[in-house]
Amino acid sequence: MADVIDPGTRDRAQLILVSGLTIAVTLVVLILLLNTTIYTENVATRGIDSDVGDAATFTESVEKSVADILAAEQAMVDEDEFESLAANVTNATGYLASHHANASIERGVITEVSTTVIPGINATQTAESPIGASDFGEVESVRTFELDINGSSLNTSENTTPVTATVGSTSVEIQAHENDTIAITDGAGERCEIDETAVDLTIDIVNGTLQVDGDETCPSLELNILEDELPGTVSIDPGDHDPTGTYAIIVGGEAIHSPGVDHRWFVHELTVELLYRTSDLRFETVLDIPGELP
Amino acid sequence: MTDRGVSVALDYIILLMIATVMLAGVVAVSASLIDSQVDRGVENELKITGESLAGEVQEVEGLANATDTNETTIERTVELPDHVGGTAYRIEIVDDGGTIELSATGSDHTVTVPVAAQRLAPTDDAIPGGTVRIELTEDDGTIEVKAA
Repeated sequence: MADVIDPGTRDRAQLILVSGLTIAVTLVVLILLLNTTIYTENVATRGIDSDVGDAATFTESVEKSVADILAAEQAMVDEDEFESLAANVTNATGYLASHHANASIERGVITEVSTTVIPGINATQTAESPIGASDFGEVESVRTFELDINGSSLNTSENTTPVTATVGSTSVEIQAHENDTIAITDGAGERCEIDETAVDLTIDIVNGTLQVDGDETCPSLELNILEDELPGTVSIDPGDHDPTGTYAIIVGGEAIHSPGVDHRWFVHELTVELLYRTSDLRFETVLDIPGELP
Repeated sequence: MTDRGVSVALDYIILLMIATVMLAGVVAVSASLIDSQVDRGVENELKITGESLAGEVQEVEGLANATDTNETTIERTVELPDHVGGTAYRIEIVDDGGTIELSATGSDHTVTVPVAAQRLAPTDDAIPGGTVRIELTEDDGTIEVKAA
């Protein structure tokens, strides 16, 4: 009996089967290769989160806002109303902190802004007058500390207590002698003598300079005694002298007090503590925003 | 009786042998292709991971430079892949903080990525890949990469 199925048809069927298997395997291989490529590209195109950039923007925004608040409040309040100014600044920055906190929480960010008003004292005598004793208390920073003393007003008797400008535990001393000389001693004990008393002495503690009648002299003296002494007490003691002259002392600190001479209070600086927190970032810093002299 | 010189069974066996040889050839070629693609994929992933980490470190340094680092604390958590190409990897900061080195464990795939961060401190030991923490230390203002 003849075959029902033509042997040629069977062969073709087998060839078709093998071809199909081959194509299937090839497709699987291609899919594997493509999968790796797609994944790698996906990883490559993933961007960096902008949390850190947002924290930087937040910091700049707060710094500018607080500085603007301070400037605006200073412009609105009279020079002598320091307590009102401090209260207004504290209230306004508190409102700023709430605003930022509420706006940030909606984006899943925690922000905190805490502002401390650091008071400052401006004790300046511009007309030549007796220089009295003054004590500013615990000072954190000194903007200006300059004495201009009329040498002729110093007591030339021996064994007198010198005129002393003190920062922390270090002092600059000015002493006159019977031989009509003036000795200036710096914080390290280094001494410089001026040959006459009829001179104007200008001692600048911040810049560390001594001028005699406008000419800088005694460069070896280390008159900048601020380093390593702040925070510390700042004071002037006329000793056994009755010096006349002018002075400019501008200091700041949370614990300063009235110095006992004519002075004005002002906002020396605002200390702003910032916190910016997300699930992946914790950023804390402290900004110091200086206040302008009224 | 037909006029075929070869029996159907033999014909079938020959077909199967040809198919087997073809399949073996395809599998052999594919295997080596896949291996080289996986190798390239692992190195690419390590490089991309390293560049992501370098970018994060540079952003943290930018933020640190904008503030007084004596009074600044920054802690940034970065989620890097736990594995690359199915293998774990380790991260090391070398060259005084100028280079991030990533190496896949169990193989010799190592990738180095330069990082422009002056404050970055070298790591004492390699840290495992995955979630890491970038910290700015208040004491000396350096940036450290640590395991989370």
